[in-house]
Amino acid sequence: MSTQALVALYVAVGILLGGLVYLRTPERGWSRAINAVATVGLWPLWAPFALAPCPLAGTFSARITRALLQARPGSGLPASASVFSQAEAVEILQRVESSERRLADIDALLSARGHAHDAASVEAPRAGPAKSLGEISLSSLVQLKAARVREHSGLEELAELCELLQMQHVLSRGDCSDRAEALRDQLWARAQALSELREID
Amino acid sequence: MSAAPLLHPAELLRAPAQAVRRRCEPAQQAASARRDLLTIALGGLLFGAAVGSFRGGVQVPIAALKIPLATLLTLAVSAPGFAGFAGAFGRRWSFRETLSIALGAGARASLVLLALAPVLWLAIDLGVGHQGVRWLATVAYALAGLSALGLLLHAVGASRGRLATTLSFVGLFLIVGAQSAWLLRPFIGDPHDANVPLFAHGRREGGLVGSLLDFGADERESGSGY
Amino acid sequence: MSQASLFDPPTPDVGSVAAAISEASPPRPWQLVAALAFSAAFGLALGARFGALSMAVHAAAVPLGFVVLTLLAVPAFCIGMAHAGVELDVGALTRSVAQALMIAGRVLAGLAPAMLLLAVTCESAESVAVFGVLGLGLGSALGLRALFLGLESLESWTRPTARLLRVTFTLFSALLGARIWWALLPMFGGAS
Repeated sequence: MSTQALVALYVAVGILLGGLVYLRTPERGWSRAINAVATVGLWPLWAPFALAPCPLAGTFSARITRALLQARPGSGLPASASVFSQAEAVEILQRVESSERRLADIDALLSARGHAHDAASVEAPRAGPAKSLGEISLSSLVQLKAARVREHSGLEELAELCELLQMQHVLSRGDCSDRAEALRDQLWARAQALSELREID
Repeated sequence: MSAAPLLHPAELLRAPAQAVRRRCEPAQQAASARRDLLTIALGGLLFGAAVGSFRGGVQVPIAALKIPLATLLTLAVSAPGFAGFAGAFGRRWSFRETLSIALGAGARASLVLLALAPVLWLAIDLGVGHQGVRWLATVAYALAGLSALGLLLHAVGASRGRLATTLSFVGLFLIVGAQSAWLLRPFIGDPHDANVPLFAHGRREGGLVGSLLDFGADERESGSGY
Repeated sequence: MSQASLFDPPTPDVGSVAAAISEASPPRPWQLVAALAFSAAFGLALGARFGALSMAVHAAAVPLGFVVLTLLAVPAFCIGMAHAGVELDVGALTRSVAQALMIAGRVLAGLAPAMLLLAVTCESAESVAVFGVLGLGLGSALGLRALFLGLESLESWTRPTARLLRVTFTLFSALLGARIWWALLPMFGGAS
């Protein structure tokens, strides 16, 4: 194979992947085209990101997915160990992803409203209706931040419980753990609580 | 103007641990990769322009394009190897995480090259010769490499296999980087060449290994430059 | 913003625990086939300099080398383990050998793009052969490391006799591997 053939192969693969990126990109307009063109030229470095699954599957989903996948039947661990069924694991992950989406929405709102609030605060002091709007804005920001803390801590606790359950399953190989059942129940209750946060709000 | 583009170089340089953590979060990887690629392009562009200013004229834009191309080619070819080594030494990184960290290290190195570009240009402007420019460029690459290594050490962590992981990454990058640079030469342009060729292909000089072994031999005969 | 130390303790690598659990199950045949297929990618790259037929031959020869090496070396290793007083846990040994093949395959697959670049652009075939040896050696060494790591759970693994076994086996498998690939790979003057 000559260098020219290698370059031709590179370009051919780049065009294929660029087309795939163009078809799969949900956004329309210039960003879609730029994404595709960048993939043609830089596909070894850019295609893995351009073709990545939905970025809303964030840190917590990744952590919990890894933990739950290991604590499943057929992993070679004792049958007496309590595990989640496939359906239960899927339900937990769906609740986690919903919670992560809410967290992302709150972050976006905080970012947008936070900038607007900072800009308003450096202008001349407000009076009358503008002043009360400003107060509402400030209290909304405070409430959003509190909601964010609740969502984030709920996800963090769930992820830690999953990882604890994972460790208990390793220990259960040596029959030196009896906490898996209690952890399982606690984890299930936490996962249910994630959706209840939405109902309270 | 959003604060994010300003934070990116500062985070890479001042808070490499934080930069590594950002690149390990799936939701942030695409944005980080985009900024890293732009940083590599910009840093390489300006350093290449400084390198090409030795011969001037058309060599300035040519070298400006070749330097980031060499960096990107090296990263593209090395990244799968990095992922293989990371897995072998117990680092549970996904391929995207490995690639993201590699791009972050490349961006950090390119920021150093960006900083050293005016230094190189000044040296050329003050009349440093071809050999001196080669040495200065080599020192600049070495400093950039050390900076990238700093970020890599944060990523590799302190657990078992740290030294072996780092050495294997560095070894692979050096071999591929050297071959990429050899492929794309000349960058500076040999003063003995009346017209600097776009690429020095077809000149059989024993390859990279042969050239390294013949270091110190009469360069006037080869006229290849680098 | 305070500067973090260069050697901050790493964040807990949750995946390591997951890996420990997943590795508790016996390897599935498709995983071993995948490992060999990964190593074939390196062979493809190695033979790229000499055309499509050479690529196919090298792609077949590299995984074949691993299969032959495993079939010849592992029984000898088992006998060595028995003589060294190391318990023969068949399950642990099977998993470790499979893990070794998978690690070697993945490393070689990762090195395939670099090998392709070097094979196509190096000026001399000897340079390509040198890099090929380097790549195969590295992949094999990391596979061997994974084999030894997988057996660390055995109680008698830290005995001096077990250490001697590891050193001897490393030298033996290096020589045997070199001989096998010398015979199989046309790049090194083997069967074409």
